[in-house]
Amino acid sequence: MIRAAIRGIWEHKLRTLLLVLSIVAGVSFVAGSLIFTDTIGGSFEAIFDGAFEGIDIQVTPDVDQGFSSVQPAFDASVLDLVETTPGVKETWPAVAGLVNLTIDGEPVSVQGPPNIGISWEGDPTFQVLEGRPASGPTEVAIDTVARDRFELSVGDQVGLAATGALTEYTVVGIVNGLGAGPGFFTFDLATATAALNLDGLYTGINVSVEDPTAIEAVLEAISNRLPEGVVALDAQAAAEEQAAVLKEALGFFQTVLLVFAGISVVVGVFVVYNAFRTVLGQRTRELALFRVLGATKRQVTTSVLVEASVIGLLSGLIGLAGGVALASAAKFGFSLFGGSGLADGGLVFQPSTFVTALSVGLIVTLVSAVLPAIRASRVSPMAALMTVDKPPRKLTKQLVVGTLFGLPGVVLLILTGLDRIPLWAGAAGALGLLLSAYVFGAVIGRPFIRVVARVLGNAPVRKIATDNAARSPRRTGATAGALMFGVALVVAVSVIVVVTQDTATAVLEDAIASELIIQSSGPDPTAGFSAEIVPIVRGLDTVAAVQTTRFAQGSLNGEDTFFGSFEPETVEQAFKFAEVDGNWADLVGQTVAVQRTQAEELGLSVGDEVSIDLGSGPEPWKVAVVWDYAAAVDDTQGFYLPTSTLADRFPQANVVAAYITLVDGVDPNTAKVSIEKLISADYPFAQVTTQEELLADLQTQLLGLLSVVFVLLAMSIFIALLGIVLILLLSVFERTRELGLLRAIGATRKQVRAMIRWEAVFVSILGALMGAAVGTFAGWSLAGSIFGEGFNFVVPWLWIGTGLLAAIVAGVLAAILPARRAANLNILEAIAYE
Amino acid sequence: MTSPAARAVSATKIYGQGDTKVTALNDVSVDFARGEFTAIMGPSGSGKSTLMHCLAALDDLTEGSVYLGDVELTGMGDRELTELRRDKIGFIFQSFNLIPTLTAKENIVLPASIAGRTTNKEWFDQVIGILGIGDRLGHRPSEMSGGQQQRVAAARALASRPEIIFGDEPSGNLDSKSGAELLGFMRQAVDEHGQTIVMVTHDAISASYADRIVFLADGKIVDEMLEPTAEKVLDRIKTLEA
Repeated sequence: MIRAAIRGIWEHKLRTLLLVLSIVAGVSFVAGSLIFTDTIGGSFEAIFDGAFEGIDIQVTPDVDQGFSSVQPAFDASVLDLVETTPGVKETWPAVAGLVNLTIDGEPVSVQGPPNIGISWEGDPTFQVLEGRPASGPTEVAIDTVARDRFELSVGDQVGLAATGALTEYTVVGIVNGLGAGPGFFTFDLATATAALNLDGLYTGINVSVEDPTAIEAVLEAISNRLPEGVVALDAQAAAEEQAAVLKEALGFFQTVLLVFAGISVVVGVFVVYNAFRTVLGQRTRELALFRVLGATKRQVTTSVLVEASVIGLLSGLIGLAGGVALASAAKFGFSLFGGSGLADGGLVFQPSTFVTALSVGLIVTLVSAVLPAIRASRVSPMAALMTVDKPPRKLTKQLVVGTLFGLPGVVLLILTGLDRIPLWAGAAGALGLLLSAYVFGAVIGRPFIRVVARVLGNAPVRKIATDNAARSPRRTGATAGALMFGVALVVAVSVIVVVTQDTATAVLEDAIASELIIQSSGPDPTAGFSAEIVPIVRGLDTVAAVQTTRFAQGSLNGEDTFFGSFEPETVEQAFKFAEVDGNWADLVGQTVAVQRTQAEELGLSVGDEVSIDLGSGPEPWKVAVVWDYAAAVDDTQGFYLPTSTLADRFPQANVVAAYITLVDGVDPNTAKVSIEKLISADYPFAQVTTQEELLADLQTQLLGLLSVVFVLLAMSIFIALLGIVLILLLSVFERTRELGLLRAIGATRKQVRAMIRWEAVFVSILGALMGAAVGTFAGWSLAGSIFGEGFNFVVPWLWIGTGLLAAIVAGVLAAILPARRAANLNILEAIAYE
Repeated sequence: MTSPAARAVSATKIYGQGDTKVTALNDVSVDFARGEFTAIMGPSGSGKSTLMHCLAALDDLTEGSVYLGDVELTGMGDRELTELRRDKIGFIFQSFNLIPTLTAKENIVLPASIAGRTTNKEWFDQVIGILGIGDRLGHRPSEMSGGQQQRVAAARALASRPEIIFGDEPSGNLDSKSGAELLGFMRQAVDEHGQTIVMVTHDAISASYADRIVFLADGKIVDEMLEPTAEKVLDRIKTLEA
């Protein structure tokens, strides 16, 4: 039996190859994710092992900050407190903040981690690798990340801008930093202080101690002396914390890979299951003959599972190779997002990866084959002697199972869409609905194809194609179902994108009155642009009002949050409000404006007091305004402070957005050009955009995001296509005599090809439409969960249309090989075939 | 006298090469007159099926030529041959004559509908009448007996009024009663409608329905018989095999 199984694999090389390919993608994603994690994880440990050598304690502001937010600062007097603490050997105060970069006068705006400007005068924070530390107002030393990312070397000129105008610096040294994450640009303390507008303030103090065994005691002594909002940390602990931030980014990549691994594996399982079911159905007589000759049921099952195992192991091996390729790609992607120092070493290939990849291939194939194998073992020996056509089996089981999965799925999705239950419940619902649709494919397939055929008209061969597609409803349903998964995911994602676009348009059109908006074009939008441009723009006589917004991080009533800011004088000229409690004029000093939904959630109204901590301890602030945009927008940044107050508290912070309202009758594009002329030379990162441009930018960004998702989902659609090819090949094989007969009585090769092609197209249209339906529904649910109640739902017709068209093209492509086989059958052999 | 419905001229068919070389047809020349029912007989391996396949545009010759009416088949491309089969030739195979997903009626009109033509209604009704399958038209092959299926196949072959019908043991899988009925219908088509039929068989009784029998052995025509009866055929076979 086993020899027969092995021979079966060898004799059906094409079938085996297609089965193997169906599983390879899933294995590749799994293996790739493992190799990638091991590779990056290994380099991480190496890098952070050596970080902060010679520094024992770090004094920093007590705010949980990533690299991308405004760096809070503390008063320079803290240095005295630290220096005079017993046991402290040396101290190195520093200032740091976000900077934007130009090379050859061009702003460098790659998406990815930000650039940090930091003071450094030779202390152990960094080690010089080449050149020397920066000294004086025109010198900068950069770390290896900045060097590699921007391809800089000693002697190069770079332009850097923090809170002021763009300044040219010469690179005088290369230093060894974290080796990953943000790029560091180091200046001497005076230069950095001026550039970052941090006069009299520090953002950190590095400390070494007299006795390395007494770090704990010194740490405690310093902590006792520090004012509220400033903390002392063990430097090693701080390094580990920074490593953790970067590892989060790594985790994201791993999650993405695993999600796609999951999708590919699921689609692969369905394809292989369907193929095994079909093949074993065709081999009924052969299996029955084995039973007649005395093979036990167990031997029949075993022979099928042996065949599956060989296919699984082959997939595992090929998947490993695919995994190496994927890991390289992921490593490259990760290096763009800040891990350039991590991308130097080779891929780390653990033996466990080998074992896991083979196991995944093996398990996936065996799981797919086990049900068909059991069914095959039930073949009665009598089947060898009879050739009667089996009557079509009832689809009751499909109806029951489909409903069992489908109903709860629909309920969960509706509840998620109404924002009643968390997103993960909706995801479970979507999975249930997909499984249900997969099973239901068998039930709706036949009537569906008949309807499509009626619409298209029954041309002679198309009639046969229709009948063929409807002949084995479960086979057709399962083949289409595999395609459905990918299409559903694409459509669901596109719903989110279309709704996001729609919401953004509503915000711009209904909530913003300003014609022009200035934003940062740097890699991190929160790095903003210099406030120095505000008076320049205000000076133009075409400008009626300028409204600036800054950002800050802190907490409100103990909850961490972001704060935005409004200028009370011009806020009403910049934005369109629906309902405002209180007076904008009162938004001065320690007051806050709260967006209505947030206010309702917290039970706040005008005059109430809240506790806000901006890094120097909680203080009482007063609610001055409760407001609502004219658009139905849920503003996630629901708390706005007076811009002037934020500017006082965070002198090092830039303006993140300026809304320019023009004098009536001024053309926005003309005004844009005249503003650009004034500011672009000194402030290249202040990007003036019209509302239309802003929308177009958003669209480009969303499309960029979409394309990445689509490329990965294309993998699952590709697997489904392999499924169509497989099933068509098996069908052609099964219908050899019919095809021979058709050719004998006068069907041309072209007609036979067309027949197979139509069958493929019917199946793929079925899959695409099921996918579009499930995807749109799941997308609605997901959008409801993300955007909250009352969002404006949009059906992504364009994407559904594109998907349908793509499915038809895919069907035509999938049919090429089977159609050629069918058309080139030798008529005489085909007729005599049994 | 018009030209024969089909003819083979010095037809030679060789399969394989070298040691495995088999000469299936060895310089065979034969005519099949219009309106005549011819049976081709011979033992297994005599080349009778090969001769029919070559005449029916299903296979090509190694040497020599085959004509259907005045049209020479030799050298035609696949497309031309296919259209020739569709428009000028009818087939009745031993088994599996029908597309299982199509009804009897759809099977009967299949050659016409593949060609994008409609079948002449009057003739269709007449054929259905002759074969007595009027009540089976909406049935699928799996819902019909073997005899009914072969009659539907015969109806398909007749429906397009082909110049010639080739039968490959058309009654070979049927019980004697159904077989006799089928052959009777074929005889009727020849007698009443002037249909030309060429049938390969190894059964003496089946062959006795024909006007003429061509005997093949080892790829050569070894004998002919006109107005055969089963007894005569059996006698002849015995002498041939001796």
